[in-house]
Amino acid sequence: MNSIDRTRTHISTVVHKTINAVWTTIVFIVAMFLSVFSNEYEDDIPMEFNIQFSLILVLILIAVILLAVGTILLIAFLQWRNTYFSADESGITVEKGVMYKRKLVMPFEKINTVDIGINIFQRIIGTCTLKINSGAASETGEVDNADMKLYFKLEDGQRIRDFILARNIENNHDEAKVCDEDNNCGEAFKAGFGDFFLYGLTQSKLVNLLVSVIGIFSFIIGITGADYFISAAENLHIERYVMYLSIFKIICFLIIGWFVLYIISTVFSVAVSFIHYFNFTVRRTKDSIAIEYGLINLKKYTLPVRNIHAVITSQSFLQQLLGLCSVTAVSVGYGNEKNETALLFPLVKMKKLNEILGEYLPEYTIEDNYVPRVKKALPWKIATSVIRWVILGLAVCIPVTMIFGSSYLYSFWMFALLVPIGVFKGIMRYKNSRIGYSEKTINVMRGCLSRSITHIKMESIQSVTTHGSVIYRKYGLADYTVDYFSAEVDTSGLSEEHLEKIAEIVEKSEI
Amino acid sequence: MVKFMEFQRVSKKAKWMWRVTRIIFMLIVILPLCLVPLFFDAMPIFYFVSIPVLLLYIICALIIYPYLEYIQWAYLITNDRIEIKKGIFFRTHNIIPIGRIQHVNVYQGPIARMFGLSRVEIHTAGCVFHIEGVDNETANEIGEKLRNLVGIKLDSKKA
Repeated sequence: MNSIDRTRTHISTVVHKTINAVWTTIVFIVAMFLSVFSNEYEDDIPMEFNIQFSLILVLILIAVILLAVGTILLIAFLQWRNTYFSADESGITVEKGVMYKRKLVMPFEKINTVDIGINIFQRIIGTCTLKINSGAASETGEVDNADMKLYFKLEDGQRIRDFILARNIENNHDEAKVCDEDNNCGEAFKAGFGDFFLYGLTQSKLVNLLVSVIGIFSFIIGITGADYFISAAENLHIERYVMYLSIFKIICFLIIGWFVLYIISTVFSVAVSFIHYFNFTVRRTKDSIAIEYGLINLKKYTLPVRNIHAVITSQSFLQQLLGLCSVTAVSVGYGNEKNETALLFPLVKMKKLNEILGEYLPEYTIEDNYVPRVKKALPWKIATSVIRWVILGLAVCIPVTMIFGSSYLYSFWMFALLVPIGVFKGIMRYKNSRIGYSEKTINVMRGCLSRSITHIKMESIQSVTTHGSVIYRKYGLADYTVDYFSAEVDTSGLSEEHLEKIAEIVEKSEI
Repeated sequence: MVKFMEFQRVSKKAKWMWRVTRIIFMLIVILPLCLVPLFFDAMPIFYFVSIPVLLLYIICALIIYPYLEYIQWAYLITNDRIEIKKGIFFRTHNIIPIGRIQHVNVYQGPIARMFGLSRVEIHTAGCVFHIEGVDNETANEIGEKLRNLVGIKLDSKKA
C-alpha cells in the first residue's frame, strides 16, 4: 500500500465534538440557573407566583440548552463534512474548514508519535481516536498540543497508524520492523494486578481527595448558596462543640478522620489504577517503544526512541520507603494534553531499574553520579519551609479565632504543630534536591515528600540556568533550571560551581 | 560595536527606556489605584498608605532600579555559547550553547524605537531568551554573528 486515498473521518466525530463542546456549556448554564432559582424565593411573595416563576425559568433553561446543543451539532456536522484525510509517500494531509479552508501537510519525518485511543463508547461502535503529534514549536518556543485528533473506524485507524509508522521509520533510514498484529517483536513487559495494587496503594492521593472534596463542596455552595450552610452550622451550634472538646479529643478526631480519608482514597486509587492501566504492556522494537493499556478507555501509542529526551523516575513517600518507583518518558509532542502521560513502567523496584531500562531503553541507564549536597543549604530550606507553614497557620488560625471566638490556646496548638511540619518538610526538600552529571546524561532530583528524578540526555539539553536571591548567592548557593526541548526541570540549594561544568559538557555533546 | 568573548553591558539609553515604560505603567495602574480612595471619602489611613506607595514606586522604579538593572545586565558571546546575566534582587545566569540555537530575531517595540534600541530574541527548542536594550546596530551585529556561529557549528557537525 503506497498511499491512503482522500477519505472522511467517521461520522461519530460529530458526536465527539458536540459532547466536548456542550458538556461544559450545559454545566455552566444549569449552575447559573440553579443559583438564580435558589435565590428567587422571597418570603413575602405568594407560593403560586413562585411556582409559576420556577416553571418559566425551567422552560427557558430547556430552550437555551436545546438551542446551544442544536447550534453546536450543526457546526460539528458541517466541520465533519469538510474534513478529509489522505497520505502518500511524502507525508499526510488533512483538509478542514467550513468558511476558512485549511490544508495541513506534515512530512513523515516530522511526526513524533502516533497514538490510538479507544473509550468505552468507541468500543461499542467499533471506532477509535487517532492522535498524531509532531511536537511543533510555536513562535514562543513552546510545544503546541497534539496537531491532529481524528476519529476513524478501528481497522482504518490501525491501518493508518501502521502506514505512518512504517514510513516514519523508513524516512529516518532506520532498520526496524513494526510490531505485527500478533505482536511478534520482542519480549513484552507486562504489569500485573499486584503491580497496580501497589501502585494505587503507594500513590500520593490524599491531596487529590481533599481538593476533590473542597471542589465538590464549593460547587454545592455555589448552587445552593452559603446561607444554607451557615444556618445549618448555627443550628448545630458547632462553636459549642469546638470550645468544650478537649485538645486531646480534637487531635484524636483529626487523626481518625485522616485515616478514614486515607483508606477511602487508597481504595479509590487502587480501583482507578486497575481500570486505567489494565493489561499494561510495553514492547521494544528496534527503534521505538510500543505501549498499550486500559480497561474502559484503551490506549495504544508508540514512541520513537530518538524522540524520547528524558526519562523520569517518580517516587511517592511510601514508594521511597519500599524502594519502588514509576517511570515515565518525556517525548516531544506527547504528554502535552491533559491526562496524557507516557508511562513506561508503572511500578518497578529501584534496585532492578537499571536492569529493566537496559532491556527496553539502554540509552537511559542511570548513573549514580550525584554531586555532594551543600550543608549551607539546609538552614535555608528549613527556614523557607517553616515560614511558608507559619503563614499558612496564620491564614487559618486568625479567621478561625475570629469566627468561633475560641480561645487563643487552640490557635497556639495549631500553630505549634505546623512549625515541626515545616522543619520536617525543609529537611526532606534538602534531602531530595540534587544534581548529577556525566558525559552522557544529567540527573536532576527534586521534591519534598514525593520526589522525581529526571534523567536527560546531554544532547537534549537546550540551556542551563542558575537563579537565586542576592543573599542566597552570597552563600554560594543557586537554584538550577535545565531546559530540554519541550520541558524544563529545576532543583534548588546547590553549589553554583556546577553551572560551568555542565555547560561545557552540553557544548561538546552533539544533537 | 560588539566586543565578543567578554561580558558587555546593554546601552545606557536602556535606563531611559525602562523609565518611560514604568512611567506609563504608573499612569495606567499605580496612580489610579492610589487615587481611588479620594473618590470614596476614604479614611485618612488610606492616604497614609497610598501616597508612600506612590512615592516608593517613583523612587525605586524610576530612579534606583534602572541604574541597578543597567549594572546587573550583561551578556557574553563566544564561539561556543551565549551567557546572559540579569536581575537585581533575584539574579539569573543563563548559558545557551551555540549549537542549540534554532533562530534569532531582532525585535523593536514602540518605546525601544524612540531610543534607537532593540531586543535580540534567541530561540532554542526549549525556550526563548532575550538580550534587552541594545543599540539597533549592536542588535543586528549580534544577530548576524550568532547566525554565522550556528552555521559554522552545523557545518562542522556535517563534516
